[in-house]
Amino acid sequence: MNTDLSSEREMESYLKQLRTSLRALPADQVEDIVREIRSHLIDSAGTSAAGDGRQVNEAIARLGDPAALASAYVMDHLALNAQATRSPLLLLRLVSLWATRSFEGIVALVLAVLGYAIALIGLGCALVKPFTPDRIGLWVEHVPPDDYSFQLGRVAMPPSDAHELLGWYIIPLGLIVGALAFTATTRYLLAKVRKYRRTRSGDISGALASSRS
Amino acid sequence: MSARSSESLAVERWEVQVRKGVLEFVVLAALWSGRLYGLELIRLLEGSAQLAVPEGTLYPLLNRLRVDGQVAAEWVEAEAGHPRKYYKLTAEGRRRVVHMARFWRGFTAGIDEVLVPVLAERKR
Repeated sequence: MNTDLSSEREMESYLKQLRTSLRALPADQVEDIVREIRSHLIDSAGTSAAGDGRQVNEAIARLGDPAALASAYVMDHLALNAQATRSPLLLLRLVSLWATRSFEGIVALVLAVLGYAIALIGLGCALVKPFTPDRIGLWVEHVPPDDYSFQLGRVAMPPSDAHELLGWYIIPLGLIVGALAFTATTRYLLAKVRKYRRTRSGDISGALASSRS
Repeated sequence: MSARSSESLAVERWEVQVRKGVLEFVVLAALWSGRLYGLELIRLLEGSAQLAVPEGTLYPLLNRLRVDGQVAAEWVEAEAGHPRKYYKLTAEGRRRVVHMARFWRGFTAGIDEVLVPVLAERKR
């Protein structure tokens, strides 16, 4: 019978892993997907005459790793929302997931983290400067014989021998650098998302769009 | 030997790209005559067109097409004892398939023309 106990257990374990990996999606969508995959597994296993545990195993093997299956859904969902909202948080979540799947994703993640870190430091310096003017700045310290050490940002106590370079200019400078880094990083990530969605939907529709214009 | 295997690898990679490129088109076209559930769609593509689609690719694709408004999904209680999720084309989906089909006709006609001497050479 196809309601063999061990294959039933195997199916439930697969669906459980799938559900866990889908948790970034809204709950109703998760249930809908799990329900559909369950229905698929029952049908795949049930239509063969033998109907023993092998059919369930085979059907599960053909679906592939539950985490990989889930990530296809999750990346599509995040890509759509990230494109609509341009939210850096969503973009970062998307590239983190992408980085687990490809080298291109790792590169994008490193650049994204770097870009947003620069934005955060720049904007942070500019915003905090008016409140603690003595402790925000860019210090340069001469280290004999001919080396220099730089320190940027907020310090507990200004280094005694160091010379502060920026003064109040850190506010406009921080705002400009921060805003540029933020915009550039977001644009870069959105371009990646567009490319991802284009390749996901197949080259034919791309060719179609350009042939119509 | 190694040159040959790298060449067949390149051809294989090309085949994967072509399949990937037409997948959405094929799925939409397969839904033209009426609603289908996932496994029916998989069997239809396997049987009638040698277009075997990996299950792990088809289900996320159907979901994407639904979000995109090309297909609509509905749960239907079956005699099998468990409900099945059926997909059908929306008006937008139907329009898109027609556009794609027209493009495809012109595209393949052009390729066929280019291929005439290639395939004639091989027979000799």
